[in-house]
Amino acid sequence: MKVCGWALFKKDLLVELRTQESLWISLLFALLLTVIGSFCFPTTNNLAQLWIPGLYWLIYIFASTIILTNAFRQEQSEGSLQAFLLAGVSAETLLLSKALYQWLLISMIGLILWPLFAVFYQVPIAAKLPRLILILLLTGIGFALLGTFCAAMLRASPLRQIFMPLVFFPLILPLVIPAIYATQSVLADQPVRGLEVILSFDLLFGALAYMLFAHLVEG
Amino acid sequence: MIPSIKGSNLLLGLLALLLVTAMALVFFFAPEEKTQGVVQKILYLHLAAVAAMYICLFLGLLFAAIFLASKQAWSDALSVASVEVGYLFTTAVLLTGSIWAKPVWGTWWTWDARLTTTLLIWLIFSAYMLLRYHFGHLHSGKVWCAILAILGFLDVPLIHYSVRLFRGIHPRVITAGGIATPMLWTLLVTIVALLALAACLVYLRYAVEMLRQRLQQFMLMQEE
Amino acid sequence: MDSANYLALAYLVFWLLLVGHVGKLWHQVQQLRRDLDRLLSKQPHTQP
Repeated sequence: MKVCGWALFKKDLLVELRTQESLWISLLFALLLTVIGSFCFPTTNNLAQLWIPGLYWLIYIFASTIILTNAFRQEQSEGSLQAFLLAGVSAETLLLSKALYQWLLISMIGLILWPLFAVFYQVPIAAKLPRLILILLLTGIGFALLGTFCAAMLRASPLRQIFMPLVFFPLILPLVIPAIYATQSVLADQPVRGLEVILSFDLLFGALAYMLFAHLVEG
Repeated sequence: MIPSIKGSNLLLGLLALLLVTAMALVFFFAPEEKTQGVVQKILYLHLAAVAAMYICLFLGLLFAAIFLASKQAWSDALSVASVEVGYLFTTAVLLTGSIWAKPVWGTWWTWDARLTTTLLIWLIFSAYMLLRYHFGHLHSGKVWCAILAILGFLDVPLIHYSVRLFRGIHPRVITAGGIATPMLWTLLVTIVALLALAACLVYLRYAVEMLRQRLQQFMLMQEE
Repeated sequence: MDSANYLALAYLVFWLLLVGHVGKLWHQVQQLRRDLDRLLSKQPHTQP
């Protein structure tokens, strides 16, 4: 089972490295939102520091949702899911391998976003980057797990692009809130708050997704 | 047309009586509250709606889980019915709460934990309603809705906890000083009345769903 | 707006919501009735 999981993950990675379809689109989208953000919010005075954590996660939510929505696009168009299940791969392995791959993708978006913020919003992040990345990676776990789950749920729906945000956003909110506050505390040169909350939610979402995933793919 | 239960007219009459009694108690029996005045009486409706909301949504989760395990049509029908009625009461909670808040807190809305959580519930189950509307006729659609009913309701305490942790708690509505006896009775009767209403609505929606599915089956048979 | 008006508004809104919901149910029943009629009217044609 573990071997299968790794093989699936590497396959996804290879496909993305060759076609690079999701990554560039959402990077561009992240850049676009960053630019739009500069018009929506005051970015050159002290007030800007209040907006930055929230804006970062807002852009992250949108960009990662684009990626997550298409998590199973390839499997759906080729009917691979049923093939994997018939071949004996467990539903949970499918979930975990796909979630791992998604986590990688959305984390890269989040990683690029910080230099963008440093440049466009003049946020001094150099010394804080390690902690910011930690928050990003931890939050990404929950995002990837729940997002992959919702993407699987909607994989056959032609209205997937619309329904994904509708379903995913409210559910993921408990994870976004501590992420914002953790980021805020780091940017304000305070000790990091909320990491345990992020981790607990990661575990909870992961457990729920893990338990219910079999129902999603068997139908 | 609707599969009737024995003595349904009597039950409907009882329901109407309950509702009228509750309204009468609220407007004529319950005393006026000192600090808030007459507006406080909205809370009878608001709190009863909260009770109905949580009970209905929980039942929605319960029957959704049964449906996932057994794949039987009745459990899906009951789940949908419960969720839809729960959604109705969620809307009622938000609206009555907002109308109460304006004269008492001076604002139509505030982002404290309870309100935010209720709004999120409304949003989650709005997605549910849309999902059901578009895909409810498919088996996969029913499965998705069942899963969303479970996930959505389980997410509620998480949302509440998360918001409370970082936003702080708004001043409590019911103070520790206790509640006057006539008020308590009024509240209880209103809660019972709304729960009875909820039960009736759930049953009606359930019956409609079961009939709809049976008709769908017959129609499919006709095609052959 | 007077305090009592808010009270009236709240209860009015609730009852309107309820009426709307029951109306939706009634509409669904009508739809079912139409579908049933259509189904039954087809019956004679399918009999040999």
